[in-house]
Amino acid sequence: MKKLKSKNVFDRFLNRPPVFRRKQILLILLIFSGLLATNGFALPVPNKIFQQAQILVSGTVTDVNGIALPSVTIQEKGTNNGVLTDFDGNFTIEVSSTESILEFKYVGMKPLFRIVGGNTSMNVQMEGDSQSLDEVIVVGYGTQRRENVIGSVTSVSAEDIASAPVSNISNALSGRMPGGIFVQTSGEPGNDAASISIRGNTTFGENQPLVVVDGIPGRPLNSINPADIQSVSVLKDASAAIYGSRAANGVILVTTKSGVQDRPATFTYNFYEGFLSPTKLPEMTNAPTYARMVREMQTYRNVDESNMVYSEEDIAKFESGEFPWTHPNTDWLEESMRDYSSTRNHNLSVSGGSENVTYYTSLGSQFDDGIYTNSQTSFNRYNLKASINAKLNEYLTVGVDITGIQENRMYPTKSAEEIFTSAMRMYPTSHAVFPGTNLPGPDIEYGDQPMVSASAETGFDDDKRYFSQNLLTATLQIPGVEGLSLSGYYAYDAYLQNRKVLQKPWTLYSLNEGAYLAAGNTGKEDGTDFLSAKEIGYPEPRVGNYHEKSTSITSNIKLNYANTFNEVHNLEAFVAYEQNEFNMQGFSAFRRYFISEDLPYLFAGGDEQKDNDEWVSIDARQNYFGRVSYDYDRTYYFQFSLRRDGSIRFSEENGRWGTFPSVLVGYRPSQQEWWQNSLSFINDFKLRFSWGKLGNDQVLPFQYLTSYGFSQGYTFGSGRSYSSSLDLFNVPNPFISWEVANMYNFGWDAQLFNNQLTFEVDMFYERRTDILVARNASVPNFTGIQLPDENVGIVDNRGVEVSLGYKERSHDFKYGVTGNFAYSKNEIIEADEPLAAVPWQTRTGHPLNALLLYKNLGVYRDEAHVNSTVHLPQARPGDLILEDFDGDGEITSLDKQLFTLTPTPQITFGVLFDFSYGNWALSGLIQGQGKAMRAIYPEGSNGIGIAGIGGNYMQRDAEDRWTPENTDATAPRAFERAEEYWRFDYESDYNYADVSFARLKNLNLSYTIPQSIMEKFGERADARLYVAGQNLALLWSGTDIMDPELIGGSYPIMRVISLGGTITF
Amino acid sequence: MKNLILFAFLLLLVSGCSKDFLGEKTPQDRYSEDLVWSDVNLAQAYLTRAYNQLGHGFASHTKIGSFTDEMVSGKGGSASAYNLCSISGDNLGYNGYWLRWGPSFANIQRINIFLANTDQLLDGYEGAQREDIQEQVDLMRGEAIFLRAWEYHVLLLTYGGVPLFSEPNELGVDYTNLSRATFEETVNFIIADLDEAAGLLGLKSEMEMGRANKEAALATKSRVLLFAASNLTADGTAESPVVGYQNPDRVALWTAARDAAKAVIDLGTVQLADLGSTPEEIAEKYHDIFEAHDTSGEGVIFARMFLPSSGATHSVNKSAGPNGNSNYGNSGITAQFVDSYQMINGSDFFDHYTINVNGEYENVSSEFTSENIYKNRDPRFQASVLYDSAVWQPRFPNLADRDPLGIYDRRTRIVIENGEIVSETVGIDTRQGPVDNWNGSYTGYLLRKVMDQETIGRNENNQNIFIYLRNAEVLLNYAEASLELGDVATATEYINKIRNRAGLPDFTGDVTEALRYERKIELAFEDKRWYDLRRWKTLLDVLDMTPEGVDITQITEDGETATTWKRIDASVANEPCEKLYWLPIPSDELQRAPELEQNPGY
Repeated sequence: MKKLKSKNVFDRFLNRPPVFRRKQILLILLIFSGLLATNGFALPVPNKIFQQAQILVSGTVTDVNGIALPSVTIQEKGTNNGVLTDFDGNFTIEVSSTESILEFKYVGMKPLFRIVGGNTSMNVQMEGDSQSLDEVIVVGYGTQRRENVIGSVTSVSAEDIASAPVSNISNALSGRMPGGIFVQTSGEPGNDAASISIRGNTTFGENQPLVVVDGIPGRPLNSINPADIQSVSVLKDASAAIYGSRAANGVILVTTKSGVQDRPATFTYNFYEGFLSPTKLPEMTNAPTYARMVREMQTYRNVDESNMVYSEEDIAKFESGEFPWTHPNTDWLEESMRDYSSTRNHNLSVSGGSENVTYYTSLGSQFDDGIYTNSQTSFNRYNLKASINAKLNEYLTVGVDITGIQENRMYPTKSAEEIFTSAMRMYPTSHAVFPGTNLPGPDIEYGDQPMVSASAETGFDDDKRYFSQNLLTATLQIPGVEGLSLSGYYAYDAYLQNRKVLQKPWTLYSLNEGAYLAAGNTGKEDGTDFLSAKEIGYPEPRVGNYHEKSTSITSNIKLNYANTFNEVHNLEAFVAYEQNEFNMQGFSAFRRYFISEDLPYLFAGGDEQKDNDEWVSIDARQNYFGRVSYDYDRTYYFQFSLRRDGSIRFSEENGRWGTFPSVLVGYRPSQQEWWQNSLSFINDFKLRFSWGKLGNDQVLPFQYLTSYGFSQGYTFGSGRSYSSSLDLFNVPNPFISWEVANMYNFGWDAQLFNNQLTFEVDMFYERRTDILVARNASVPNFTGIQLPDENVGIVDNRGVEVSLGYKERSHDFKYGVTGNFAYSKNEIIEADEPLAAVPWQTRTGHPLNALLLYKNLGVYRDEAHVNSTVHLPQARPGDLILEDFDGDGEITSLDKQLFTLTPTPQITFGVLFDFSYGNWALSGLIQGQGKAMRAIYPEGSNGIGIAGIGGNYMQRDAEDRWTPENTDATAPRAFERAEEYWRFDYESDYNYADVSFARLKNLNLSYTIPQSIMEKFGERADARLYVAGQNLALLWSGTDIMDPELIGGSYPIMRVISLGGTITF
Repeated sequence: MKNLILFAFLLLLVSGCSKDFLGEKTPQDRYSEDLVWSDVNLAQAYLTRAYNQLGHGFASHTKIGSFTDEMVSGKGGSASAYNLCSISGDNLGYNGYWLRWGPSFANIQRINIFLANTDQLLDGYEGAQREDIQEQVDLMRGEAIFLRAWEYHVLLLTYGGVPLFSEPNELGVDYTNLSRATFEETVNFIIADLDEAAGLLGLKSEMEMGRANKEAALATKSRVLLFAASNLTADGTAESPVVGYQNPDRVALWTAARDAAKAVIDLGTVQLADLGSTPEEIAEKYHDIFEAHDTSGEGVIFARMFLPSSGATHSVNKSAGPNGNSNYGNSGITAQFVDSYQMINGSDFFDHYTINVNGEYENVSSEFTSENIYKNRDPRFQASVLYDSAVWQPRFPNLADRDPLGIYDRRTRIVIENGEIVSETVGIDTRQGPVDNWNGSYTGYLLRKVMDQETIGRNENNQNIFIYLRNAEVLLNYAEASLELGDVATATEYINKIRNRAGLPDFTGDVTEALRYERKIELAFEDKRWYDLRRWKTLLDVLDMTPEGVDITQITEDGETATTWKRIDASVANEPCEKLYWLPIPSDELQRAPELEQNPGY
């Protein structure tokens, strides 16, 4: 340990900027002193006295097929006396007595214990570890062994999460859970979490699943330290019904680590340092192509040669590259980004426990910075967690779990979207910086020049968030009744956000070309003397402060009963009560006219136009629920749950309370004799069926009240004074209540060939009713009624999930592959939509968010082609052909059709694989999606992109575009912004891309340092080094325009390559 | 014993589990209904929302003038669905503030809720207070009724007759079988409201600035009755009762219109303010009317005031200012409209200039010999249109050297020496200029009238008022109704009042043409012309054109400078058609209420 401390690992750890270092040292000291002060832990002192060997035991270890297993660990239990088998599976060990117990451990095998007894020769057969059957799954208010789970529950282990070098859990989960749809549209540090939906979308409203962390609903998923996670499981079907009114979109259950009984203090330190670079960026045109396209566009518009932006001579000069001062050729995406940004993670944890007290404490830090040149962006997160469980006496166990999180986001004042779209938009014909200087070139507008707007030059946006999560738990075994216990918890979570934004003017430079040329220069000569500075952005410094705090108090009490009768009747049941209260308050203040930016505090600002505001909100819930699980001899399973939920979002008289039952049944014929006799190659087979009624309460609260809130007002009076106004929120709907999902699931789990092959299938059907929609169809606008939401919408969602896994092992080589595939499709059954003029525009019968667009049929070749095809009056050769869908010989709005693909993929899949050979292990994940489309062009001020005189074209609009010479084109002619009919007014599927893809999401190659080396550092010392990658390669993509996940995004999706290690001692 | 302590602890955990845990909680960010209708200040705040929700001409980049010969839609280059006649119930084109089917009805409902609840307000007060409160309530009712009439008049002038409501509508009632009230019923409903409002409201001088007032109620009545009496709805050819009178009594209609205008004039409280005598002074003071920050101007009857950072802000400068100042350059004025401004002596522009076959302007005048077509024009021209070389705003520092005065720079300057071009400089505000050139106006002209010279750049909001009603309109209403009733003398008197104030001599020639010229020029870009062209039924003739602009080239050859102004196409040709006289009711509304009659031609 001393060696380690003085060596590289701790050096790296301490080699952070000074502030960070001080903070971290302080925290480490705090943890340690806390540990030392709690003498109740009674750290078990390992027996240092070497045992006298007396008996020699030898033998061979094989698997069930008789294949020898090398490198099996054999340890005399309770001592540190251990050996490994050789290549042929042979071993010899000296033990102290015949009472000694030998423990055989081998990765992928069930551990075995053998008492030495009188045997000096011992041949041992190890069975494959049917890990998935033994695995303990968190199922909501309880755990079950995998073999007993009869709901559709997917779980992801700590190892899987830890293998991805990403700062948040959503991106680590992506692809690992059949039925989980993860869409990451931004790689911005601190903002790069993927949005999650389970089994797709089923409501017009909020489709986000409920996140429950250690039993507390609503804790933020992506702020958790990934290293603290024990497991994540996802309830996809009626098994979520135990979460009642918040369960309809699925439930993600996160369990964090806690201490281990009877284990000496174990220190684990892990770290990685990674390099991030963008995946596939959009390709924009270069200067000569851009200039040529602008010329073409102006030609189509009959612009006189003298009024053309670029002459033929200009184009030649751009091409030559010899006139860097007047005719640059700038690749903005290249110029505005560095080669790589970095990510860094450190985590130190201590855990262990005595018989009565267990503890886990950890300190983690995460750092990411931004990819832009001169980037101001950084994200820091610090997680501190301490958890202690103590068995106070025979009956009573109490626990404390305290988590503190700080997240610091430092951003420029321009949003990630503004910076990225401006890098796409900038003219390739203007300067990023002037040659030989670091003076930034001009903007197009708004001062958006990514070389500057991503930097601190524009001010800062300093956003700090603090989470304090405190949990007290207690469990009481009720004396005298076996299996009866009472448990409860009380959680107090506080959140604080402090944000300060300073906006200030910045400076850009432009070349006074007229004067430069007039002085006899040609474009080759230095023009520094002809640069003029322009101050742009806000005319004077201004500061906004935002402060928000909230508290959430959750308490729960639960009476549990678990027992087994006659060895075959297994019964588990509980009844519980839970309540939650949420309060939020925020305020903001703003001043402008700062005389200097050096004191970015409100007192230093001016008095004119200062502004402030405050906002509040509340929420509260009350829940009664219970569950009975019964199985007969692990063969016939039955589970029933019932939950009654109350929420202040709905009226006391109507709608406040809802009841959510569920029934799950399972049958496991593989437990029966006839199966074992005739179908023994299927080791395990279980049929599952579930039904449940679940709710979704993520709707605008208090719509049952007639209430008046503050609204924008009017200016009255001779001094022009502003009066704010009151407005009716909406006409009340006293009957408003939750959305209700009726969810059916049927599936089976099978393990074949000695558990080597697993095959799981789930089929589901969900009907979501009472979806809140305003009755737009039945209430005309002329009534002027501000319609409330009513529980009228109906959406069906159905799909299938398949998971197939295989693992194999021979000698010291071992591998496994698991593939998962999910398909889901939704359909609107009722929406109260206005009757569409034509049936193909009726949303009912189509998926949620179906796109209403014209279909493009290519490009008009020439005048004759235009005339021979149904066309709009303004159509000219080179324009997009729109389909006359209704065949009436005219292109009208009735020709728009609903496309069935939406940005939410119908297909998601993942392939997980792992190989290990000796000390080497390689694991990876291929992840992808299919059947989805998304809009290509960035949402600019025109909503459709700004290409033309106002900004660069995408390469997709340049390649094979129509010109009078290239009439058999696939892309339309050069255009100006949104002015061609097919750019905006008649938007077609041409503006959308197929965003299906498969990517090598994750790869992790690790090397475990041989025990022979590590044992010098301590008896439990263990070390592993690894190289890991995330988003490594796009294996296939439906579009080559850019990374399919980036389409519609605002910051490049990043490829991460990291080096890291884990050391345990 | 220990376990007893534990039980106590567990009970503490759930101590919050009172039965009323949920019942006690109400939202903290809003007032209950009872509270609002028992407190006159809260009720007043609700009425304030109705003011906020009034549409105004600065709310959209596209001004309604682009539906006429005044200006192009956006910067030009292409035409709107309206101008191409492809507008329909499911293709409404750009949404401007005038497409108020939804918003106006929502505001009418808001006002009806207010009116239905004001009676309760007195219950919240006692004794001596009540008289005071009653007075306040009456005034607020007057405002509310005026605002309701205002919203209905916006709907009437756009769509014709519409469903009429004087009570709040309720959820659960079936409205799907409702049909439109006739044009006549809608006019009568509005007039009744305006009469009632006029009785309750104080004069402008007695009311708080920005609020409805008696003059506003009467002036709106004048506007509505003039519209009703005009050809579009009263020449007996209206296709349906929802868009006109079936058997109109023209004399009665014109008389009502005339009397309504006279009623405003007779109040004596709204005057044509004197604008001075020199053309420059007149232009400046005329522009000041629209640049004012409050409604105190003598000619202003009803207007909306703005603050730069509170409430509904407006930024017409950003929207319509020159690209060279980083503004968006929308609403380019057409060359045709510019050329219709008379000369300062009241003669026609084309008496002095012609356009040759190359599209270039040529001076053919013996009286006004300047080659610059912008000289010696009706003073309202310089106050209303931003044209080449007119002084506008200071440039950003990096262009200040080049343009120290801050002119609107639309000309290309070519210097030729010894037969060789030595320099060619495009104007800063052109579509080839150095700043945001894609925002340059295609016509070469921009709006000046409602712009604020003091609002600079694109980051600041405007502070100038939006005028809903002003006296010049009422005087011209009076002149027109009088003329239609055969009273040429009165018409002439009022037309000349307007002309003389603007520095022009009495008109010569046809009185109807003179009247229409004054409405066109005096009220230009104030969102009036579209309504005028429709009610006169001249829209199709006027709109049948290709909006044009001007290209200006200044050539300096060996010290001698010559400038040419050349007409160019600024947009594609308009394709007017008959249905444009009314706007379509949105198709999805007809699907909700199939008994609603769609307007003719849609």
